[in-house]
Parts: sequence; C-alpha cells; structure tokens
Amino acid sequence: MRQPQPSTRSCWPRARSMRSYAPAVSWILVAPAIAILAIGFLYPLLRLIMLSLSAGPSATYGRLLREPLYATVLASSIVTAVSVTFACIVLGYPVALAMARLRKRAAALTTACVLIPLWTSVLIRSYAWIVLLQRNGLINSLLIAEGLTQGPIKLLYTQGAVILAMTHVLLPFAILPIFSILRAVPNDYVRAAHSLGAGKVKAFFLVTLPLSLPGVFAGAILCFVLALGFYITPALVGGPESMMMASLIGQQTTVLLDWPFAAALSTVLLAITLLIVVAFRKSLSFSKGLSSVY
Amino acid sequence: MIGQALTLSRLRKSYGDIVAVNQTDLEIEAGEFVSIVGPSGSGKTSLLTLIAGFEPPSSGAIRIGDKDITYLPPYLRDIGMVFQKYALFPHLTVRQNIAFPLKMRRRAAKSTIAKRVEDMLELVQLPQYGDRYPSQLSGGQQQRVAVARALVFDPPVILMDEPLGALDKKLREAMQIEIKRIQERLGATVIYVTHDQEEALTLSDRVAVMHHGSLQQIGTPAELYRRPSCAFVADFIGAMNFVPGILVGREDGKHVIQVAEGIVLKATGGGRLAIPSKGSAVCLAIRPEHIRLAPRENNAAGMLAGTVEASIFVGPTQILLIRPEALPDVVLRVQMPADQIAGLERGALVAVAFDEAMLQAFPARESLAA
Repeated sequence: MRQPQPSTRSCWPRARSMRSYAPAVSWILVAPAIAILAIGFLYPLLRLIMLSLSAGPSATYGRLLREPLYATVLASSIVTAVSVTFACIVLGYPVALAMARLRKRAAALTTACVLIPLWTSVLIRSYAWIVLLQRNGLINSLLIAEGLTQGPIKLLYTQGAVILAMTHVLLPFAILPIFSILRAVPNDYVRAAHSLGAGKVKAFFLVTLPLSLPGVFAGAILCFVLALGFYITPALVGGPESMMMASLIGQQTTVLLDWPFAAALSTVLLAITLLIVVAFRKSLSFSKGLSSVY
Repeated sequence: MIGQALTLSRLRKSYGDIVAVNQTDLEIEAGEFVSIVGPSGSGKTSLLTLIAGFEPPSSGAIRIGDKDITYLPPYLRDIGMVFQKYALFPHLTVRQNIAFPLKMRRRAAKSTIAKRVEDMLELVQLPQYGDRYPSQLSGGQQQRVAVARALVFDPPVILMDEPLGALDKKLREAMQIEIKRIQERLGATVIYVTHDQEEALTLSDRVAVMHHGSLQQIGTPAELYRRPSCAFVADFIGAMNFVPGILVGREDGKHVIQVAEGIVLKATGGGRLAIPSKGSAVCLAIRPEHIRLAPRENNAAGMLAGTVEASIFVGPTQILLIRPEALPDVVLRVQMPADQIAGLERGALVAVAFDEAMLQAFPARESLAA
C-alpha cells in the first residue's frame, strides 16, 4: 500500500518571530542597526533640537506661532502632501493590480516601467515637467494648436504643477507596497468569492481590496512622509504661493542663515509628521481580522 | 433533498500540448457522494476546477440537472466549494464568512440571513464561534466553517478539494464522519477530491479513479476493490500483490499463466482490458488476504515455497512479507489474523498458496502509481 506524501503547502506569508532566536543573539543582530541609528539619527536630532532652543524659544518657536506665514506654509504643505498621497494611491492601485495579475513577461515589462523612473534622478524628472508645462512647452503648444486656448496658459509654478510632478515622482512608492501585498493574497480567496456568488466587481471590492489594505496603508504612509518633506520638485516647478516647508527651511539655512529658526522649523515638521503617522496607524487598528493575518 | 445530478460529457482540458483532463464522461446522481481519487498530477483538481468554472474546458459539456453550465462564470453556477486551504476570508468574522454567499446571491431576505447563519453554525457545531476571525480558530474549526459557508446557500452540487488534507489523522477521521452526516442530512450531491484512497472508500457511494488525466474506473468501493478494471486501479485501491507471468493458454474460461519454471496458475481476466494473445506478458494480481500459508512439505501445484522477510504488527492482523524462492524479484504481502501466524519471525521458511478464485490477470503493467 502506498502512502502518498503530503504535498508541501505554501503558507500565508508571515514574518518569522524573533522568539526563534535566543535573546542575546537577537541583541547582537540588531546592535549595528541601533548603533547607526544612535550616531546617525538620534544624536543629530538631539543637536537639532538644542540648536532650535539656543536663541531662546521665544525667538524661534514663539516666532513660528506669532507670524501667520509659517502656519500657512505648514498647512499648504500638509494639503499638498495629502493630495499627492491620494493621487498616488488612486493612480497606483490599478497599476499594482495589473502587475499582480499579468503573466510573466507582461508583468516584467510593467514592473520595469514602474522601476526605471524610480532609478532616474528626481532632478531630471522634475526638469522634464518644466519642459512639458512651461509657457511654450509641449502642452501649451498642443492646446494652442488645437485651438483650445488663445494664448499660453500658466501651468508651471502653480500648486497643480507641484502636485502633478510630485505624484509622478512618488508613484512607485505607492505601487510597490500594494503590488507586494496583492501578490501575496492567494488566488483561492478570489475563487472562493466567485464560487460563493460574487461577480468580478463585488469580489474585488469585498475581498481583494480589503485584503490589500495593509499595502495601501504602507504606500500611503510612505508617500505622505516623503511628500511632506519634499524639496527639489516643489522648488523647481512650484511658485511662491505653493511653498513647502522644506523650501522654507532651505531658505532659512542657505539664504537667511538663521540656523536656530531653521532648526525649529525642522523640529516642528518632524513632530507633525510623526504625529500624523502615529494617528494614522492608530486609526488602522480597527480591523482585528486584518491585524491578526498580517 | 437539495441535491441535483451532475453530468460531464466528453469533458477535456489541455494547456498547449499538456492534457490535464482527457475526454471524461461522468454521471453523478442527485444526492450521491462521489470521490475522485488519484495520485498527484492525475488531473483530479483540474477536473474540479472545470466543474467549479474557474477555467473553461477545451471541449465537452457540464450539466447540473438539465441546465448546461459549461461556459457559465463560477458566480452564476450553483456550486458550493470547500477549498484545500479553506480560503476563509481573513478580514471577515465566521458569521460574516457564512453570510457572504447569502448576501451575494440575495437568496434570503435580510431578516432571515442571520437565522440561516445561526442554523448553519449549529449544524457544524460552532454556535459560540460566530464572532471570531478565522485566524482565531483551529484547523478543524476553520474546516467546519468552510463547509458551513459552502452549504449555507443550498447549492445542488458541492465540490470539496482535499478539505481534510491539512488535518491530523484523528481529526480527519472525526471530520469525515461529520461531513458524511451533514451530506446525508441535506441530501447534497458531493464531489470529493482526495489523494487518500482510504478516505474515499470510507465516505463515498462511488469512487472515481483518475490517472494521467483520464478516468480509469468509477464504481462502488466494493466494486473497485473486488473487480478493478485495470492494474492501476488494482494497485491504487487497497493493497495488492503483483506477480509477473506469461500467458500460456486458456482453460475453462480462465487464463493459464506461467509465473516461473514449473509453476502455473489459473486466473480470471481482470477488468475491461482484453488479455493479449498467448505468449504475451501479463501480471497476476491478488489481495494480501487471499494468500494462505501452507505446510511447507506438502508440495502441491500452485504452491510457492519462500522465506519470511518481515513480520509487521498492525493490530488485529499481522502482515508478512514473503519472498518466494521461485520468484526472487517478488515480495508477497500476506495479511491474516495475528493468532494464525504466531511465531513466524524473520527468516522462517514457509509456503504460500493463492486463492485461485480471487486471482486476476491484467496485461503487463507499463506504469503504476508507485
């Protein structure tokens, strides 16, 4: 009599628990990371905070509160970052879904299309938008040639241009986490949904989408944090009214040489970023089912 | 009785040059429990995939009752499916999982959904687990939820793809009884895929054996065991001894087969395959319980002298592995009540005789599942 070998079943991906190592080994393994973090991040951060207080809190933090300009810039930075994040998720999700569903060669091609811009300098990609959006650029030429507008319209140096260019730059950061989660969702869930009577649209919205939310959240946090501190792109394609926090800090350090105030601005930006990320994560722990799976 | 008949006619599926399912005809009656067994890669899961509608067949037709569903998408077919790894939605509670098909199919009014779900939880004996998430349940509990979810919308046909494969032996046996109990109570038509032939024999009204994408035989467990249609089925279902030989003639409707110099046995032609002409190679098949031990000195015709190679204790019976002197390439498996062969240890000299009424001849095997 034959005893068929049980087939090895692939498990739902799950991070290996730290408990599989002895505590001492774990500490040795993370020690280099802790050292780098302490020297390269915590120490400079501490110096930054001290610097922001060196001229007296009233001159830096007080000024931040007193002059409405800074609150305006901060608010507009957050609005821009939220818009960019939203655009990245909305545009990135279908791409991630296509990448996860396509067959080998097509998937490789799509992945290349997503990754190659990522490997290209942000500077080059920002300049590319200048070429496209400027007064006598490609888009204005097309609009005029089609008779849609009389003269060139102002596209460059606007809030819209900033959001457009930043979305382009940050799109891969939304696509890749969503893609990796979608790839890990077993096909059986979609099949199960179909066999239980859910059509394609319902199966997507009730099963695929909720199961991919951790990827969406990861992508959203990544995009938001990067967007909030973005420097090059808004500086190149944005106008004075679309100034971001990073540009403001840059101005303080390089033009006005007010280092304590720049340090205060940086500290506030960091604190707000952390606050929003923590709040976001907290609000995500609503779904017990998801947190027990991922 | 909710079950309906399922008919497959000339169903075929190929991927390029690879034939996954080869021209299959199968008629399953309403309320019948049919298992599909076969080794890995025999096409049994492919067949299930076609019935469920996850992939279209290359040709042929599938009908439920009188309705042709061959090219109907899976969500319009009335088929419940239990997946190998259960495929319970991890982001939904047990209750939400079971309510899912009812909501999708709008079969029940909103007010009755809750009641149906509770009834189902009762049926699978998990009434207090409705608010848990699948990851908070044990494998056996998840399996029962998967069964409940597949049954709750009263599908006329239920497919199960190795649903007990991930469970340990004890739990598997308990679940087998439970699945059978629920199936009989609801009268559902069940197609059950498994690679475990014992499980198939335990549960099924009929068992279908697949090999290389083709249906080899379908019959009741007893039919398959007693009258296998080919050497593959004979080997796959239960334990079977095979002895190679050469057909030397026919006598009283039986085949006369020479297995070794001076040893000639008579056997019925097994199965549907015609035994080739005189002089061709055949193989004899006999179950372990149809071999007797005989006194060694009594050297009658058809008796083989041999040595015990191993004696295996299996509870009420004992298995002896015996190597006949005349057939050095064969090890015979003999199974009999333990008390009858007490004291026969490894190396003991014995003689065996075949119960000739139970001896079947097949054309020489080309490939077996082993």
